[in-house]
Amino acid sequence: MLFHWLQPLTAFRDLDDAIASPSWRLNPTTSAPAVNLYRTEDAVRIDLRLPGFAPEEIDVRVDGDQLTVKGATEDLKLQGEMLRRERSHQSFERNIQMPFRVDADSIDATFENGILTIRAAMHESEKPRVIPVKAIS
Amino acid sequence: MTTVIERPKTSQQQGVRPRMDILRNDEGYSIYIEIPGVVETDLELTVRGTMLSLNATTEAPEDGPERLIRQEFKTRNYSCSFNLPEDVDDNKINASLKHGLLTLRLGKREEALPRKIDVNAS
Repeated sequence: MLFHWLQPLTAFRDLDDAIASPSWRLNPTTSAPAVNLYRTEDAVRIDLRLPGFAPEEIDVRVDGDQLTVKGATEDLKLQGEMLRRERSHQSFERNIQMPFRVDADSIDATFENGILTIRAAMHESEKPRVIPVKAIS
Repeated sequence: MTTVIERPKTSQQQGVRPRMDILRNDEGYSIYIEIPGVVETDLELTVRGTMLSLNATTEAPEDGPERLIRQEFKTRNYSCSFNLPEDVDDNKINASLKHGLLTLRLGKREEALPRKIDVNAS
């Protein structure tokens, strides 16, 4: 009977531990979501990994070149005995320094399949300006 | 002369193992697996004997003019497999995917469910 009671713990053990060794295992309970940052000459794109969140649970704010993303998810009804816990259940706040100040009116945020994508254009004041040279005769 | 070419190991094609929570209660097990970026049509769940496998492969978006300047996550490809507990009925497995979170419900076999014993008054 005792053997049977213990059985599920070994049952869920991974078969492919040796193959997969992703780096997140070093810190599996971190609550800050992972970020990828892309840029062009005059625009920036930020992807955040937020599986399990709903769009209305995510708050995005921009101040100059500072992006703040906050979220708090309604805890799943995790009923029962936890056999394995790797996901982070806390709320999070992540501050990201963007490569330049952005135009607040250009910011666009979309959420698709657990990935939040924020796009913003460079602020006019950050763009290089061409100074016309006047000829004096 | 024949040359034998060994097929390279496919670990490159293997996705990363996703993070998950596993819970057990009287009726069965609930598994919550994080696979952000994956849509249902890219997800393959198979049960072979007592082994459950997950494979998700998403095509990388086409390279645009954007340049990656910071990378903290790499893949939208995931894979993992594990043995099911003996008390799971493989006809009672449900899967649903929402906002990048896969929820699996594994029901227990009839004989493994808790039974209430009526007490007869004599």
